[in-house]
Amino acid sequence: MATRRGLTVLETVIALGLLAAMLLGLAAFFTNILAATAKQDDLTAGVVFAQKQLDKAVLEGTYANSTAEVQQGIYTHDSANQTSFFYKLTSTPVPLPSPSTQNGYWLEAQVWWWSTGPAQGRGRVGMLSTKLGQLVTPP
Amino acid sequence: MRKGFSLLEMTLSAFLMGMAVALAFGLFSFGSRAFRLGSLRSGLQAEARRIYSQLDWDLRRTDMSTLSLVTSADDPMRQVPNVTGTLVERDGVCMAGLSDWRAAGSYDAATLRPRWDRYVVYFATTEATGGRLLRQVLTPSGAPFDSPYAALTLDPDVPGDVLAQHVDEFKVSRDATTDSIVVQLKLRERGGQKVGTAGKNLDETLELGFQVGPENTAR
Repeated sequence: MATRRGLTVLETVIALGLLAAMLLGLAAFFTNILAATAKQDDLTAGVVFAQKQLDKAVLEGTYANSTAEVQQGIYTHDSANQTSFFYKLTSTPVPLPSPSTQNGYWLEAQVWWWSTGPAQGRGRVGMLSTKLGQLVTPP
Repeated sequence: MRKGFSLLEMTLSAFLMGMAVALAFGLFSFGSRAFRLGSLRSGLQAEARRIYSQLDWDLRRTDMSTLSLVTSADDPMRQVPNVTGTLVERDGVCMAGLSDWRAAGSYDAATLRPRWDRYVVYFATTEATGGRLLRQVLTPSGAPFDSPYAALTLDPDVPGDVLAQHVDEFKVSRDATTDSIVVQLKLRERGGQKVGTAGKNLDETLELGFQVGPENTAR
């Protein structure tokens, strides 16, 4: 008759280790979901913010010499804390295609947040910046 | 001879079982709160995008001379306390629009300017727990219109679109120097809980600000 025996300490430790690894994996999954939704919120606000800077430069007629670099706080998810958005506006004269004889301006708004520059990202969430461009033709 | 478990074995296994169950429930709680917070954020984002795309479209195509604002300066009821007791603006904006942008009859044959045949109204309702952002289309008699709608009232019972259900602030102002409209929108929803805290509530707020110049304004 076969004898039944309990689990050894090693088996128990391995089972608990596997369980812990699975639970930690799940926790990391949920943390990543949260980070992704937060990034989506920031990106939505960032794109609208960038568009606002482009529209503002066109409306104010400063598109030919826009080199502003400014910071603004915007609520993007947490009601208690604002996210700081930074933007940089650059304007480059570009010749317009024939038969036009005048120059247009390629206006570009770069917006970034949670980082020290537009080309920097963060681990697991990637780049925290966005860039919009618009060709402005003088009236 | 078969023997039962000793007291030490029972205690140890009960402890381990308790730990595993606590971990599993902790993770379940964390997961459900993370999911709730994530879906809450997605909901606010969808509302923000919907408002932005519609309002930007209507504002960009209208004529500034047909546009009117209803702010707390005209109607003190437009300023209300929000869920935290802070006074916020729930403004309204009304502008002329066209029912069919492709029809030749929608444009004046001589000037080629649009013959405005309706008004589009956006306004936020004034509930403290979170207003709704409504979009209504009004077609009074007397078209084509070339001035602001004189008989404008912000009536939430008029049938229209509900663009958002969680408006905290909807502030609209006129920028006289650029002849444009500045919109400040804050959406806020209660019920999110900060993950990793013992049941601490965390409101979620999504804020958008944009500035639009109505492009059919006569220069």
